[in-house]
Amino acid sequence: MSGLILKDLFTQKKNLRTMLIFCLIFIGVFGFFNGQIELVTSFIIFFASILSLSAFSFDKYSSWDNYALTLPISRKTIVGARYLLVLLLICIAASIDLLLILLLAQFKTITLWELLTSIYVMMAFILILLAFSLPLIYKFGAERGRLILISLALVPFIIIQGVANAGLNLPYEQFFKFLIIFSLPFALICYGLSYNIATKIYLNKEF
Amino acid sequence: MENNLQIHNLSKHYKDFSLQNISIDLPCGVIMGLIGENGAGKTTTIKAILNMIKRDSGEILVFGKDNIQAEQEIKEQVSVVLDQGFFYEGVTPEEVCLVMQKIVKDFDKKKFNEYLSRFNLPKKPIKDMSRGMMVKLKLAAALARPARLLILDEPTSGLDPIVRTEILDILRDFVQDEKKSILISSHITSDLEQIADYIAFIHNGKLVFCENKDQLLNNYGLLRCDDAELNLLNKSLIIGKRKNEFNTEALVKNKQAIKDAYPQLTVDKATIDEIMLYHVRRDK
Repeated sequence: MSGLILKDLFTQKKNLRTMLIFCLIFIGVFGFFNGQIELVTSFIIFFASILSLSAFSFDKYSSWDNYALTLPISRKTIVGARYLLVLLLICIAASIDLLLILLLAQFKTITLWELLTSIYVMMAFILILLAFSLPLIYKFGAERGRLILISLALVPFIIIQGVANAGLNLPYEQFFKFLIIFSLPFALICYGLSYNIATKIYLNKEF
Repeated sequence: MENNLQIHNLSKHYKDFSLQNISIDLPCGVIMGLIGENGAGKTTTIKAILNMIKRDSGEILVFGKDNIQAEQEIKEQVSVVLDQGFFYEGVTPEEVCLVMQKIVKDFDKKKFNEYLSRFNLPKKPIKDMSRGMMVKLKLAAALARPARLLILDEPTSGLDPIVRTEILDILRDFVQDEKKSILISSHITSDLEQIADYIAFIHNGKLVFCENKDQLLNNYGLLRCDDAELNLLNKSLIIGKRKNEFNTEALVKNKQAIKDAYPQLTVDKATIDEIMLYHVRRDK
């Protein structure tokens, strides 16, 4: 499994470099000058999810799966390595966010708790999106999968808008606290289920 | 003779194509060429061996074990060079080696580097390599594995004769160890004429023949005669015919028997290309 993750990192080395440069620019422009640090932290995690999806495009481009299936690796391991890579990239992005916040705290007065919450929620949000889209990518391919991810990203906003329009009287503060606390465990459960579904799809796939 | 690969009645059906009852035995120490037109079923057969597609019926045994039940164990000892399918083009040979060491048990880094030097492969990313270099890199990765069966899908297509000869020499070396075998699919039949011991010909998803190459070349012949002379022959011996300005050319079976029965007829040696061509034409 480590070999497959290493292969993905080698494949994406240029992208990782680009991501790092972008992050630095973004951090400089929005973090230090404009003070919109929430935007930066969310962006970095979102970028990690884009990288995760690119891994599928690179594989398709080089017909990697065909080659991987000639090697002594099970299909389950191939899917598992990809799911682990995605988690790894999101954790790296979250770590960069943490470092950034700690660094910023040295120069500015920031609301640390709020920022940490925003990273926590963003991680959960992205993981849930990926949990939905990864099996679809295995089923329909990377291009359509990307479209699905973007479409899915809009769903929460539509729901919130719908709730607002319906004029429902929700116990906002308590409700959101509950939502925030359980968002990441819920996301991880979804992610685990998603892995099981993706494995089943991949086991039945023909190349 | 012990077989490294046995395929019995392999069938796989698609909407517009069917592989039907393919049966092939690949003995140890042997190079088998898999020939046929594009879309005849060569790659489908290889994919079925590697369990990349699910067979509808039949049995595939590699080293005497079922290719699905003992898939991982088998793949430890099978090396494959695919026409399409390898690392992404941004990856360098050094990175290929690092990944392969992690994935494949006993991947021989020293051997891999020896092949890189032997092939004069640069240390640059795959995208900066020519097609020939790329095939050599795939081959180096395949040969650095402790494999008993080497499967190659169209490895020499698009390569110049010098690179092709170099690759064929390496394949010959591989089967010096009599426990090892090679299955090589190619439509460059001249390459197979040079190295293959057996030829399996697949046409429209069916196995036309799987024969020892020397016997095959001895059996088939090209008869050049006029129509009247051709009519003398038993029709079952004629695989196909082609008329030209001066005479009729026909691919015939039992070359020696025809020569003996009709000494006046000229029966020349047929190449694998011609044997394939006339079989394909017969069906059209």
